[in-house]
This record gives sequence, structure tokens and C-alpha cells, in this order.
Amino acid sequence: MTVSESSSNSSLPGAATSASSSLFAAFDEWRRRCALALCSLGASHQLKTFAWKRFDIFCRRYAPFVPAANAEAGHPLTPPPADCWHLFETRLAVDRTRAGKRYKDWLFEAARAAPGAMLPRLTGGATLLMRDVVRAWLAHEAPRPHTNSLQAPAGGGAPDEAPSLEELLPVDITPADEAAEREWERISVEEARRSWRRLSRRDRVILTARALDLSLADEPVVTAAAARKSMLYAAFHSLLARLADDLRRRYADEESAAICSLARRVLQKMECRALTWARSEKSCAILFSSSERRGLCREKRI
Amino acid sequence: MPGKKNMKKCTGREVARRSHDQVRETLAAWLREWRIEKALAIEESTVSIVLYGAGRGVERKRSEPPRPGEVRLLRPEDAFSCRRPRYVLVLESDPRVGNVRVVPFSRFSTPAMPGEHRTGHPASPLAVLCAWNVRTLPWGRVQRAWKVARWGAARHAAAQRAVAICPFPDADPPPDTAGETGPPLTHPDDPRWNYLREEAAEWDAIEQSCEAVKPAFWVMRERDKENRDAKERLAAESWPEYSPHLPKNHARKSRAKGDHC
Repeated sequence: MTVSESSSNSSLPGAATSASSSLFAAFDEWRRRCALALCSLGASHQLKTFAWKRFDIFCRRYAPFVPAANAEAGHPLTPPPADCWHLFETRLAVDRTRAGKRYKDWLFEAARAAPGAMLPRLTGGATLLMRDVVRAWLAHEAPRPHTNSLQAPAGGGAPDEAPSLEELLPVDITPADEAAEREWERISVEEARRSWRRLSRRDRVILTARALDLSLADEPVVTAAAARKSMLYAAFHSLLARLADDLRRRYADEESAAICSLARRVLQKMECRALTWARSEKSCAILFSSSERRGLCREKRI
Repeated sequence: MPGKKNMKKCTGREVARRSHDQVRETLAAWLREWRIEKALAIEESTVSIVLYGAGRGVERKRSEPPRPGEVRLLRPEDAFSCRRPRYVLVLESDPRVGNVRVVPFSRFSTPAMPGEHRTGHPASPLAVLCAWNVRTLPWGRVQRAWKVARWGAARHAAAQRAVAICPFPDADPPPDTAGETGPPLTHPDDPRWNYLREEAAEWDAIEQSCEAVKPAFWVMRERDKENRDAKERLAAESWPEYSPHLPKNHARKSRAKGDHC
């Protein structure tokens, strides 16, 4: 289904142009008057229709359905046109003041900035905003099951592809006896030694930052690793994924929760190695000084 | 008394169970929003929506300088600021340095991981603060941004604390913040990793799109065209020929003294 800014019922170019200009005038009037209730009837009807059509498109995308009789009928989840625009206004506003409705200025400024006709950019931007409104509305107010199955795939994909909700929840397995605990420790030390040799310098800096209670968002970490934040998070994720794959391969008979717990222990052991390594690295001195400052700041604020 | 002992055990177990339930509900709520967003993704090949192009050609009036505690909405001056409104909280601002430290807000209403915090603000765009994604933007960029709200001292202090104690995505959050943050990422295939990478990459692009802050000292340029960094020289080399680029208000007598040698 396409979203076209010209009226879907008009076949003449002149009629399409007239409809476009009246829609633009409606948007402009809404921006000047600040609220739909203060706009003229014509502008109000135009904007409500626009909002309803967008809302309906997104609802159909979320939950495709076959209309029973009337093909023009809206999706069962789509609210009435007045409610669609009301949601658009209220979800995006920070408060009722003019400052709290700066999203309108954002919408119009981007439409004005580039050359060419404004209306396509204006309605395109409004559609992007409506998408966020619909997402929030569907998440909180649309009908849904009262229970969340722990075994349902978390990402919404096929059951054998995506991990289940149960697998994503944090869990810690504590061995019941000392012998098992010693075995866990021995395995984690051995795995940490093996994995450490394969780490890149960036991985080691990340583990050092983790050991020092720093965040990947801290500037010293970015400087020491010589990488942007997105690269740091990607590298950290890759490190965890490699570790998990390696452990799953070597301990295929263990439960997923046990491997997860083992991975955390191995990570802790690698952090200790990273601290020792970082003390001999000149480029990591900034991490230690930042950690000291952060520790002082944390004591002041907590 | 046996009854009282049983009551204590039940209370502790009940607290643990409620905490686990809260974690599960938070994670389920975030995953739900994520799945819906992917389902509503706009594909340019099927939808004739014209997305914005970045532009800065609009003349603006002089804006107020950014102050800590302000919530600002970035103007659509780059490709990613055009895709959705980008709200940020000003943490620190110093006009002498020329940069402003800001914390972005999440587009979701539920925190995804330990580095994201519920703010308690009733407005949806300001519901969750992304302490893990603290950014440094040029002064001018934040000054041009629209001032949307101003937080009180208590809420601003809570935000600063969230940034100060921000843990790794897979680490357990501090116990006193467990109800305000998302659960840690424990599985490498968790969709929250995709969200984290996407959001970090978009904000990297926003930072890169900002004009570089020019430091307040002379800029030296080499006359020769060798591919060498003008700020460094090898130990055995003599000084390259240069033409100092001085500020307009620089006095002539300083040049005679050879300050730029």
C-alpha cells in the first residue's frame, strides 16, 4: 500500500494540485493556531483525515487483515479520525506550552530547509511522527494477551531462530556444593586464559574499562580505544558473542543458563587479566585516572 | 515465634519474586515496542514518502545559551536529526571550551538496559534517559536547538547520577536503581544489541556532522605539498617552511619576536 500525498480519489492533475495546496494550508493553519480545535472546519477535517489514513496504514502493516465487506473500512484497531489526530498532538508534545510543542517547528523547519515543494516533505515528516505515535499506542493501548509466554521468541521471529524471553532474562546459577564451585572456578580460569590470547587491543581496553567501572560512553575509554562509541559497543557485543559461541561449542551438553553463568565468570577472570595488562600500557593511564575521579564523584552523589 | 519467622522468610521471598516479575515485565514491554517498530518500518521502495534532506539554510534568530538542566530539541541539520525528533538533556556547558555535554532521550517508553533510566516525566518523548549514550556536541549546535523544558534540581541531579554510575550493558545495575532501569543483556542474540548499535551509530553520525570546534590558537600550514601531518615532525628533520595563519587582531610586533618558531 502506498502513501501518496495527492488525493486518492482525484484523477485530474488540477484537482490533485488543489487538494495538495489545501492540505498544506491546513497544516500551516494548525501550526499558526497551535491546536486543531482552533482551526477552521475545513482544515480540521483535512488533518483528521490525513491522520486517520496514516494511522490505518500502520495498523494494517502491524496486523494485516481482510476487510469483510467494505474495502474502505478502517482496520479494527484504528481509532476514529478525531482520536488519531488527538493522539498525534498529545503523544508528541512535552507539555501544553509553546515550548513543549516544538515538534511542530521541527516538522516545518525540515520541510523548508531543502529546495523544492514543501508538502511532500511536510507530510513525509508527519508520517514519520505518526509512526512513533502508532508504535507507542499499539504497545500500550492495543489489545494484547494478558500473559507473556516465557517460551515465545523474543524477537518475534521463528521459534528456532530467535532466543525466547526466558533465555534473555538474567539468571545466575550458584553451585550447590563447594566441589562444584571449585570446578566452575577452574573451568573459568582455563577458558579465560584461552580466550585472552585471541583478544584484540580494543577488546582489552574495553575489558579494562569494565573492570574499572567505567562506561563505554566515557570519553577516556573512547580515547584509549581510539574508536567511536558505536564501534566500542559493536566490539563488546562481538566479544560476548564469540565467547558464548566458543563455550556453547565446548560444553554442548550444558544448559543455556549454565553456559551464560560460565560466560560471566570467564568475563570476570578476563577483566582481572585486562587490569594487569593495562597497567603496563601507557595509553591506558587515562582510564585509571578517570576511574579514580569517577569513584570520587560517585561517593559525592550517592 | 515460628509465625514471625515464617512471615520474614515470606517477605524476603516475596520481594525477590516481585523484583523478578518486574524485570520480566520491563523486558517484555521493551521487546513489544521493538517488535512493533520493526513491523511499522517504512520502506522507501514501497512507500512514496519523501524523507528529509539535511539543510541549514534557514536563518535563525539568536538563541539562548544552553544551560545545565535544559531539555533541548535538536534542529534537523543532518540526516539522522531529520528522521525523528532528537531530545537531549544538557549536562554541562562551558562556552570557553566550546562544547556541550548532553544525554539523549530514548524513543521508547521503557528502558532497554542498565544504562537507561526512567525519568518519571509524564511526557512520552522524555520518559527514558540514555545515560549510556552521553555525547559532546558543539556549543553552536546546542544553542540553535529549541529549548523545550527545564528540569528541576532533583531531576537533574538524578540524571547526573545515572550518568556517573552508568554500567556496562551486561552488568547488573546498582540495587537502588533496579526498578528504574532495564535488565542486563545476557544473551548475544538479544535484539537489544541491535538497538544499541543502531542508536550509537546514529549519534556518532550526528556528532560527526557537527562542525568541528576550532581551538583558540594559531593554525600552522605547510607550504610544501608533501603528505605529512603539519603538527608533527621527525626528530632529525629541520623545521619545514610555513606560513603562520594568524588571527586578524594579532599584533605585528609578536611576529617580529618569532613567537611562532
